[in-house]
Amino acid sequence: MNDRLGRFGKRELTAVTTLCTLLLGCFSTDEASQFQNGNMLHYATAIALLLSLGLLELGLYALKRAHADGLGEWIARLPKWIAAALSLLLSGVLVLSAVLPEVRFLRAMTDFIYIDAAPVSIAVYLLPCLAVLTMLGMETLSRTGRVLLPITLLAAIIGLASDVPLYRLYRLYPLFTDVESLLRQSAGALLRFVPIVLLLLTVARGAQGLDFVRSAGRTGLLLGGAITLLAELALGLSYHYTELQSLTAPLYRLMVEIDTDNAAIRLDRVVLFAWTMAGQFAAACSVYGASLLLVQANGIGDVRPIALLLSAVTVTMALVLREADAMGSAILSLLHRYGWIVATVPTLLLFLTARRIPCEN
Amino acid sequence: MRKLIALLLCCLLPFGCLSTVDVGDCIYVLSFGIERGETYAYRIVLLAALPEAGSEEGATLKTEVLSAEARTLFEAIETLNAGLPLTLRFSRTGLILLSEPLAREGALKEILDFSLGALDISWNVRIMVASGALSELYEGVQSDADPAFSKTMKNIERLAEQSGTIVDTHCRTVRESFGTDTFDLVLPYLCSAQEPEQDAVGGEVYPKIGGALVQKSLLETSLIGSAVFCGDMMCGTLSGRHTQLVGMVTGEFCTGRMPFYHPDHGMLSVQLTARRSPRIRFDQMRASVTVTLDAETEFPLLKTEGDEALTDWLRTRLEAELSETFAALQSLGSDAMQLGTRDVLRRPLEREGDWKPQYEQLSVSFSVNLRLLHAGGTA
Amino acid sequence: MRHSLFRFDQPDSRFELLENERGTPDDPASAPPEAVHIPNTMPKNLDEAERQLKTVFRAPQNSDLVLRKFSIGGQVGGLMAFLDGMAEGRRIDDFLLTPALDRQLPHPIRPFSAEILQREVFPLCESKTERDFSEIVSAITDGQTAVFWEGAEACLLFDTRGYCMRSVGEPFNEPVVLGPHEAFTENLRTNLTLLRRILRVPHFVSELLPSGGRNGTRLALCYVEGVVNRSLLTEVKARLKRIDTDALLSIGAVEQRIEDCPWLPLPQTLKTERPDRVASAIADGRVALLLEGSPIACVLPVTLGMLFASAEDAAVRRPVGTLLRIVRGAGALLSIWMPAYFLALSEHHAGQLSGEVLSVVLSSHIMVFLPLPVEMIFLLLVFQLVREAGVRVPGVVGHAIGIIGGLLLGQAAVAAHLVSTVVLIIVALSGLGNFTIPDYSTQICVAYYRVALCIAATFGGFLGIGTLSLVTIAVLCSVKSFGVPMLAPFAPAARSVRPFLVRGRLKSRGPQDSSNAEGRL
Repeated sequence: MNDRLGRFGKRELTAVTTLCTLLLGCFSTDEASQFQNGNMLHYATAIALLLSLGLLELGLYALKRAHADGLGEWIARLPKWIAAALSLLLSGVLVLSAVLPEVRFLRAMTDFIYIDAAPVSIAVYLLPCLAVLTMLGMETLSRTGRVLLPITLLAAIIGLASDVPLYRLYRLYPLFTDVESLLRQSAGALLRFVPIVLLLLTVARGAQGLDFVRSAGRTGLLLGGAITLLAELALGLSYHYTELQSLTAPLYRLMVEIDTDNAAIRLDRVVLFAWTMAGQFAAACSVYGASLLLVQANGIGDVRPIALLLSAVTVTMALVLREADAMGSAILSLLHRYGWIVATVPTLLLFLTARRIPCEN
Repeated sequence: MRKLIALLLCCLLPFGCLSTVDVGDCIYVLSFGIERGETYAYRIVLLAALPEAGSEEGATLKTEVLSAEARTLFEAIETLNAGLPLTLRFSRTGLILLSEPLAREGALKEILDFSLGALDISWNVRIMVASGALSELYEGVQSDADPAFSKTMKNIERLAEQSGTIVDTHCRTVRESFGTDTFDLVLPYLCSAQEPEQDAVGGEVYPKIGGALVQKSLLETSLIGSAVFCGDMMCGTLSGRHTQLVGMVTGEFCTGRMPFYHPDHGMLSVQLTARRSPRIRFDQMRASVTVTLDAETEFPLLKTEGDEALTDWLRTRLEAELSETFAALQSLGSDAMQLGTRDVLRRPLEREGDWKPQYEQLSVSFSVNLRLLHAGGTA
Repeated sequence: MRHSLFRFDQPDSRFELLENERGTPDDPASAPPEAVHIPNTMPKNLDEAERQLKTVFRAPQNSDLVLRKFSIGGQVGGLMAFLDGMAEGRRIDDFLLTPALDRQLPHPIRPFSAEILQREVFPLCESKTERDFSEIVSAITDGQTAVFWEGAEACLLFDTRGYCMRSVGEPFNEPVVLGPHEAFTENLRTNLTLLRRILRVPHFVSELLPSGGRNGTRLALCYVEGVVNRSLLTEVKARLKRIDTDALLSIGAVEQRIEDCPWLPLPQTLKTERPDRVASAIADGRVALLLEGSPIACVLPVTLGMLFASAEDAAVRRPVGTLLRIVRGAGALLSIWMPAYFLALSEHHAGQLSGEVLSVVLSSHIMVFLPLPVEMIFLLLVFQLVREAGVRVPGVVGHAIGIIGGLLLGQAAVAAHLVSTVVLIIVALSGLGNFTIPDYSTQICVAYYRVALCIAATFGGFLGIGTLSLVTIAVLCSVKSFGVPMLAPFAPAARSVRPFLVRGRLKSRGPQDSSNAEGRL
């Protein structure tokens, strides 16, 4: 089987996890529902991150118990139709996690940068990028992540630090509204991080051991999560929640509002595109994870045609959701509201079945 | 198969060509002004940079004032575009000038939405209100020494920082003021009027305050202080001095010079510097504002007079002027001192939509902690 | 017969190399000769040896072959064969022919063996006994002299190579300020000697292998036994064995046949003419290939950092070496991205340009009729044109190319409004940055890559640049040089005393380099 998984070390996997957490965390938020009752996004993100860490531990325990090298391999052992259905469902979750930031990037590009361009003209640049990255495989993706991580972190620091004079504390208020909203938002936030857990478990074989996956996953989720929280805090200090409700990709808006006349170096657009390219990388990781899961669970010989197909599906879905304004927003809203159930519940049930497997001493 | 896929992917790229206009085929608009037209509803007045072919030394860049009238803003832009040999580009626009009549009608929000959405004007553009004809104003600020208009804009920022007589309001703050009732907007106010005017607080104010901005030309343009808004409508003006006082309460005042007339000693020129952020406390319908300042004066009779008396006198004057300014703003219904932003911290959950009625009933007391520094020494 | 357009009475009699309709040339004389088979077994006697040698070497048409019959010690007849020009005639006379004719052996010696000849007759130190006739032929083509004698089952080969060759000189393409000034030559033995003078250890091995080209050039595989990774060695030998081609004339041809991605413009081996660089790489556990007739050595595996390192880095202090690397890296980045960045800003993101820069760009571009992207790409290609012309034009005229290209073309083009000053400056700076890259192949790759980036910037602005850059980084991350990722030790992280950007400490005896060496020198 040509799965293009290869081998990669702990540091590479940490870089991949950090980037995916940061980009999917920052660019997959449903602003309309998250900021309905105040700005509790940072609490929701923190809770969702902790839950995802728990899910990762559970998943690793399940893999160890089942003596499986990866999630796909474990699912392949199930009855054929269950394996097919489960792999399709989980791959769908991974593809969705790639579609959500792509929609935002498309919208942000057409709203802020290329005003006269049609979304399809932008999508034509995203597709080859996504396709090539996913087809090159996880070994290449892990090394690319290691190269991109310092660039993205630098872009994040520059972008967030440039706006410090404009941050105001009162915009964060009210700090807390009610517990019910917090729980609802935390559940919704799970959709951003559960796919990363699925990705880690799918590529576990290439990481040369589940312990490496554990340590890379923990470090990556925590580091990426910390920067995501910083970014969300910056957003909260820049915009009131009533304004955040109507923004799409507010981080983009934050970057384009940097006061370029005062900036020592005009790096705001470079920062924006550093985010965008890191976003393409994160989407490519998700699509590759989806392809690998399908391939491993269903015994398909080569991952590359599936990767190419899923890349095209991702970009097409993003384009459709972007173009169909009202309907697209409604679909996105539904996905955000209930997508976490589809992502979390089957995964949780699958991992819990591992307890039935007798433990070999 | 690999080569076929690579070829297919490469063939996609030409379909994604993003439209572009060569840099030499554009006229870059440096400032975008809107006012009421004589014949039609709107007149747009643009300060644009045009390359001009020179003889031997090469081309130079010069600024020109272009204007057009139409029923809508979009039509006005199209009218201009149709009449010019090159394409208008707004990506370099650093300043939007709104005429005072339009500002008083509440057109700021609509114009901002149009500018940022349809014209590709950058989201960090500065916005000012102008009195008088915009074309005259532009002719006042035009200069061959600054064809890109960038030095003028930098001067404005420097003036805001060094004197506090004008405010440097970011576009984000402007947009925020429309959506919430947390505070009201204060924007720089530009005019080319020669006669003194009266501001919201009272007393005559001569327009020439922003000395650093003034460009030498036939019609001198200057900054007179600020335009005060109530929601999205302009409701009054403030002189440079009163703008400084408002800045002391909002925390935007860093340093600036204020003249005071002492009954015994004549005109005092005092350099004030904010020592720390103002403290605002609420107690039911009362608020107390404490402003902490350092004052420097070269008053020659100081040594015989004694610091304490002068400090007390200055403090009393400042407190009186602050109260006067607040009263004027309260009567206009404008929370230019941004007291609402402190109210948010106090009661974040209960204040939805009821700040303005409360603000009208609010009583505020001002106290100034003043430390007098001599020129070249400390107290 | 000369071709004549207006001679209507004679057929066209110009020489044609093409086949006729039957698929064979008309002239029977042009039919390919029968293939000559070189037997492996030794000829039975001297006459047969002479006959076989003449057949194999196409004598008497091939006048280079010299066959000399003589008497050895007055006891037995001998036959000497060598190629005129390849073998040194004086050496043959002094150390082979004269001793054989002068030496009078005391009593008949039977059997007349090679050992007796080596011990009693021929004083040349380098000699070898060979039984395989094809090897004997190969040795004669190499410049050795073969000596046959009556009744022998083997032949003696003596090293009498004395062909003309260039002396060791300074490196033309990799000059340094500090550091050695010796360069490889076309002679393989000389090159191996240069290496052995630096690596004076007994376990430095230079294996002579057939290059795989039918022109018979020799290839030397150099490594340090005990340091080099054995699986690397096995892999290199396996790839070399797969080479089967007509003529291998340069090390570049060998490189293209053994690397992982020959379609990639970026080289996956390091080609250098400096013995000190090769010796340093071999000491790190790498392998070097040297080809007879090529003054360049090919070092593998390599990383991107090695392609950007200069021979001088080790000769200067660590902070200075690090600064030089940073300058080099900055120059390369400037060279790659500056033209594209400028195009993206001017065409798509003009709001990012400061007012002063915009006014300069507008002022300089106003009279130029070419669009900015075309102007930029045109100038980049003209730069390459000037560079190529400077390389090809010989001698003193080459200096004039720089003057013509730089001053006249540039100045005249600006005055004629063909190009703008700003673009000219950007291209010049980018070109300067390109020249800071020490490796020539990498320079060329980068020079044309920036054209691709300019095209991407024209069509897509920063999005185009970002997309192409990301794909490039990903492809670079996927490329391996004989099992070693090109971006090691940065991506993947690997323990290395040769960091990516900073010049490593000389005293360090830390972990092995990214070549995964098995030991230390």
